Amino acid sequence: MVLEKLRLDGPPRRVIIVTGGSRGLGKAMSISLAEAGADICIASRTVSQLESAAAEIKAAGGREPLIVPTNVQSPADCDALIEKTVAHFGRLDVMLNNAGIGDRRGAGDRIQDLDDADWHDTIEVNLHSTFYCSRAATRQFLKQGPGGVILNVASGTALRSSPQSLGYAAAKAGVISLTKSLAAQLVGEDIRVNCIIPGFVAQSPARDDEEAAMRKQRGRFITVRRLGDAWELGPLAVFLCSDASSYVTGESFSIDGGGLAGGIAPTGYAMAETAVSRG
Amino acid sequence: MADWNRKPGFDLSGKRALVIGCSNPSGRAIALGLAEAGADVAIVSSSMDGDEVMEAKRIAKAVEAMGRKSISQGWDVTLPANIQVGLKQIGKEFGKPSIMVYNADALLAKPIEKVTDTEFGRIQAVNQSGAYYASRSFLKEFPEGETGRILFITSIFAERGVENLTAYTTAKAGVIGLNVALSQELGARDITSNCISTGWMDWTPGRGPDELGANLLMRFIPMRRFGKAEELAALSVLLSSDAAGYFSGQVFHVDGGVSEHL
Repeated sequence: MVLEKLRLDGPPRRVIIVTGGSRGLGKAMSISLAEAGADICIASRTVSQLESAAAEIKAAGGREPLIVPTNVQSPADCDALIEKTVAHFGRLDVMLNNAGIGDRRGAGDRIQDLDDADWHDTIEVNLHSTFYCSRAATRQFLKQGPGGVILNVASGTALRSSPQSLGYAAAKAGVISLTKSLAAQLVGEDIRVNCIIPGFVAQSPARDDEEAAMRKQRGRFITVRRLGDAWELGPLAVFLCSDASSYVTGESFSIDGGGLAGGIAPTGYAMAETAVSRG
Repeated sequence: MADWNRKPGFDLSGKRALVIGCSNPSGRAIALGLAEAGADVAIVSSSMDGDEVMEAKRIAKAVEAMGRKSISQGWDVTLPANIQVGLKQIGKEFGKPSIMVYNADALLAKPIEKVTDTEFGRIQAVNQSGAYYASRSFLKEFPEGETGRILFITSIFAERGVENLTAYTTAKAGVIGLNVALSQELGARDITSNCISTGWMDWTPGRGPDELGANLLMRFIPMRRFGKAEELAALSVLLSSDAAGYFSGQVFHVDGGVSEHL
């Protein structure tokens, strides 16, 4: 049966590292992957958030996750993340590069005011981290023999203009480009590399009615009339981490409520039925 | 904190799907994948070609053998009245589908100067006009209040050119246009529209021998092999599910990496 290929509980049980796995999209994908049977290692800077996310993953029916506090801007930390995961679980099957930050330093700055340090910070955390972790993971994949998956997370801001976040958009465009080139470079070793491109997605359930109302208001400007929810990335992540996607590599999957397919008129704009052009 | 209202990504229990076109193996693989995920599946041919009509019947039997409801019909997708009447009948006998997979496919390989009007017309009619007629009838007969999913199985030839495929590429590119326009028109109704774009598959006409050493084309594909129909099934299930409501207007490639080739 075809859908059995979506299972991640093996044999061998898949071992998946999710950077930025302690909150938002990373946590949501970790929960789905754990439910599909994978062993998960979540990595981020803040131990308390990692512990809390690990508890949620376990409560959702997943196995005990490994937590590894990591600064993905540090190549040494990224190497250590892979080493600790392999030491704990014995292998690595998927590197899910999700860590990223959109609105940290330099966000909103015009180019004439954006300083070098802020630019570098944004590129490092969003793009360099993907390179460091992919490199370390690939070294491990090659030790294990053929096979392995790298799954990157970019952003819809990479595909259209993003005047409020020059560095973030550029870095995420770099992630999409890296996905394609790495896929072509590693296909001979049976390592698949793909990318998820989220549009406007809520990182966690609304905390109260006010937040729910605010999201509803923002959703009016999206084709499907709502923001995405982080959990909606979960099934796609399961598909791309599993053997069910065996003929998919170098591909970027937008999940954006139809935004990219439109965007040339206000949401809800319909051409008047009286509009005709006679040629 | 409230929890998400999560929906399962690969469960189609209680859904009714319509798969149009089984002249190539992807019709069968997708129909059986949807059935495996719990959907009842109606399957119709894209032409009145006897072999395809019989294949639709065999697929329906296979779906029933999995414990799901099924029905098959012989359609000619170039005839809009045929599609409309057929869908009405399916609505009565099987139930109105809320998932439609358009897999009709007709390929013609000829230099543009040699393509006759009739040949060009047929390639447009099966690949593109049929997709339009089927979408229109599907929406006319849509079970209001349900989540809707439209999926077009298209081809990398819609976006990349090779010699002798002008008619086919024109038609398949039209389907991508239909897809983006539908995604906007249906966005507020929880009906999504997406394409799965296949690369060189193990049934693509003109692909040459199946041995890597003997086939330059196969060596050009990053994965060094042709795709298999079964490799379209899981993604079809995902995009048909209630969990896929935030995917729309997209073209997803299942192509062994060939569309990323330099």
